[in-house]
Amino acid sequence: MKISRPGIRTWILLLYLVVSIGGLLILNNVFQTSQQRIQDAMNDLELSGELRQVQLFSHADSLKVEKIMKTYGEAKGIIKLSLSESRFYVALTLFFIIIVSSLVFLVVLTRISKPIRELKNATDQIRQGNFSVHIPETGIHEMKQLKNSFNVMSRELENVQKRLLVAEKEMIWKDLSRILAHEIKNPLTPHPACGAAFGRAAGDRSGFRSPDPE
Amino acid sequence: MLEALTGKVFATIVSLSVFLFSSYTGNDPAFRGLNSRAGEHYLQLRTSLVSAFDNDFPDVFKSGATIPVNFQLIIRNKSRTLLTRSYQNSVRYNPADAVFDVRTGGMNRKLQTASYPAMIAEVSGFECSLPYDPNWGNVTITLEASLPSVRFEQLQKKVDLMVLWKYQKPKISVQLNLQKIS
Repeated sequence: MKISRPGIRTWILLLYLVVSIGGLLILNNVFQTSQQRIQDAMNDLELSGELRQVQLFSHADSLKVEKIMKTYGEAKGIIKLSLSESRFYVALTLFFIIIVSSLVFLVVLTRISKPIRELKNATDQIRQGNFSVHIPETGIHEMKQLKNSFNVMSRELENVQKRLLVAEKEMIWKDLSRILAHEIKNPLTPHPACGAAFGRAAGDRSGFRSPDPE
Repeated sequence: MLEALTGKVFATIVSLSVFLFSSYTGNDPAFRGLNSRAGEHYLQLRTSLVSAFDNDFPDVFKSGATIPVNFQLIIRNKSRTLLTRSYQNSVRYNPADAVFDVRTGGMNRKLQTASYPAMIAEVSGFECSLPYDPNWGNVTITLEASLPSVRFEQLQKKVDLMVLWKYQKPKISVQLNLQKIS
């Protein structure tokens, strides 16, 4: 089985996958690991239990401690929620980035590879002698320019071919007329000499001399 | 129909993205089967949430803020809505005494407990009793749970709790023939 060499599209795809998605995945991994570390540290952090053991001697003190415990509890809850929120949204955003960028990449790739395929087919037709090939000037700006250049080239080639055909026809006509002239002239060449010989023979018989052809 | 489809697509995207790119586990809440019992004039419904408060919730419950759990009950006959009711269970932790105050909206019950599993069992439960008309005939009872945004008073910050459920609202539907039951 013959294995074909990977085309430019495959190489671009591979490069994109390795650099873009790979980079994002590494970045995500680093982020997730650090978030997990914070989460673990938060799980070990306990303050309210210790504060409840503290002996309080006044109502004001107990109110202060209660406030500290509430603030601490809320802070811990908010940090936990924020960590969960960020991990959740990072995963979702990464998923969307990969999907959207892959779609954009595929669209761009199609818009580049399709015109290249069209150009290749058109070049094949020119190679086979069909100079009237014309490809529609669509696609991205650079592709339009390339197709325009190709169309101009094919048009010029067609004109050159037409001029060559005309010149060739003219040459053939010239050759033909030259040959014809030659062919007509050749059989006529002996006729004056024959005429002169007949004249001389007739003159001899009648006593007149025909003028000397020389 | 469209809402259900959108919900399923979103749930799939969320599950896939979290599975592929995150170590975040979150919670996958669901309802245990909805039990119904019909009296002469009242219909009693009972169910509970499972896997709803396993991960990340202990710290949220112990934050001291009031954490509500909303339930919405809709009774429909084909596309006609016959009855809509909203209920709310809530938990508030008192850090000074280390006890949870739990209120369940359906049966208007109050519970004070220091046990975390007891609090979870109580807040996850849904029970209600509502009047019905046997002429409603074939009905679809739909129950949906959700978590609202919570304001932390000490720090003046509002956080959406639905992130802990990965923005998936657990839902259960059962079909009942009220004429047969009555």
